[in-house]
Amino acid sequence: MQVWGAFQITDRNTYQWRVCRLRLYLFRDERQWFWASDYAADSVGDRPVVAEQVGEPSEVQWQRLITRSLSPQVVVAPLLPDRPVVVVPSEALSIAARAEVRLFFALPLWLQLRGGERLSETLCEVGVTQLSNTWLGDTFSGRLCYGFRASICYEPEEVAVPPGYSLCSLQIENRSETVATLDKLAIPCDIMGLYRRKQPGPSGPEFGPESDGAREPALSLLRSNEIILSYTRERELQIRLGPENAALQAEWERVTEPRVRAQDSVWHKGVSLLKRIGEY
Amino acid sequence: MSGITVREVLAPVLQPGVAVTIGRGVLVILVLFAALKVVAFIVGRLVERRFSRQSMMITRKIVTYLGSVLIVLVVLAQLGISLTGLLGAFGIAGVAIGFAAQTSVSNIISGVFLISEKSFELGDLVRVGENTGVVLSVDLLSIKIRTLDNQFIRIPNETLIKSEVTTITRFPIRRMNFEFTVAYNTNLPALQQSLYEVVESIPQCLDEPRPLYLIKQFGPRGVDILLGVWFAKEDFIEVKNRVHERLKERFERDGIEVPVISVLPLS
Repeated sequence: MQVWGAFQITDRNTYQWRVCRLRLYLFRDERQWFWASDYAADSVGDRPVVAEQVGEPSEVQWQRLITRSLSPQVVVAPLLPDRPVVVVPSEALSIAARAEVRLFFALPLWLQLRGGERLSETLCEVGVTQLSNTWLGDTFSGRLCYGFRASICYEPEEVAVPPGYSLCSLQIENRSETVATLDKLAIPCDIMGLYRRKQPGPSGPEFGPESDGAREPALSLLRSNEIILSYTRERELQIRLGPENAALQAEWERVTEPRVRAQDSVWHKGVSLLKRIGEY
Repeated sequence: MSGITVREVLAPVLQPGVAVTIGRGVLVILVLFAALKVVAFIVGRLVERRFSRQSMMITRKIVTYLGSVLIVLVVLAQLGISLTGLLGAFGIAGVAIGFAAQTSVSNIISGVFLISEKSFELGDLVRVGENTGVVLSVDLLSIKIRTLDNQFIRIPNETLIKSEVTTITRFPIRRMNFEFTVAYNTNLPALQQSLYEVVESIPQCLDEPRPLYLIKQFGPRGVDILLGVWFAKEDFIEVKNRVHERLKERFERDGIEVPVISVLPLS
């Protein structure tokens, strides 16, 4: 069953989504939306539960949001995590000197529920699984990231991408003269977009009212931008997004914009430089 | 009675020309100070958008102080008061004022050093002597902090320069140490595994840097163990509560005898 799409939520009924370990509950009372979530011990795997009417769950903490206008519809759209993810491979990767390799893994997504006026009001955003927190950098400076153990595959077909996950491809370039051993990989999810395979006919916009999740199974595979990791020497790794080239654009269309736009203007670079010089 | 009447005292001011000049001066002061407030606010907002709140506060103060001096000069010129004579008078008065205001001057100079040293910023949690609180403002004469039990404390800059100041929230992540003693019959490798599992079960505890497990010593009541848990500085209370809860649960479940448990001061 398709997780993403638009769903009708009748008044004063509780609906449940179960994707991976996430249990998400939604209740509507006219313009008031109540939502709650928790995580089950086990994943539902390939059998997600989508917009199923259930009784009122016990022991969950409800949150309430009042939208601008009355609309019984809700859109469930995929989002990448809101912070970078440090992926820990099941085995450390060693790449030969001057070698390049393309690897694939499945990345857990966030569910974004939108409703209200023109389905543009965000009701909630919640991850399909609970990721651990980890720190990337030294103890003086760095960035708070999510930590995630993944099985890294050599071919995309080998990757099991359950509902609620997207396929992520990673190109690693070892530009050094020594073997590069990588025991963790930082994925800048907040600046990446999500894509789905193009459908015949007019291309649809982002997940909107016209995409009915129950009737549109073609959205099942989502992928994110390609990440390029260049290993230049020990402890020096450059991370950049792969280009949105013609091959990508021919087969895939972007369905979710990056959460944060990468800033590369002269003004922004100037201010960043000034901050670094003055430590402001 | 042959006293001086109010009319006689105010006679020079009540002359039509002088009253107009003073009125104009007051108006200029009001307008210029209002404009200065607006300019300082806008400049502060622009700086805050790109830099930190601390930079915003410093910029706003610089604009306000410089602007105020400029306004005073403009108004004096409007009133036709000679700046040369005034500066001469200030020179003589300065010596007397200097003696009287030694502490204030010391505080101002200390304030300049504090601002340039950037030991802490607005919003940082600092400990000065016995006081711990969040920095509300860094001014020329003093800093103001709000203690954790919501008291307002003003600390003179001179005191800060002379004392040891701990900026608790300087770095984005911190380590909390839990120290306890387990009985001698405890299986230590199994205990280590249990402790790691406890830490892993709490989302606010960081995977990296790895938790610290240290067998400190064989003490009189058992084996002294230290567990150091890393967390993002915002999660202090959550981590402290959750780790204590889960440790207790785990010790009870695994039948680990714990004669003593305590939390060390943060390292």
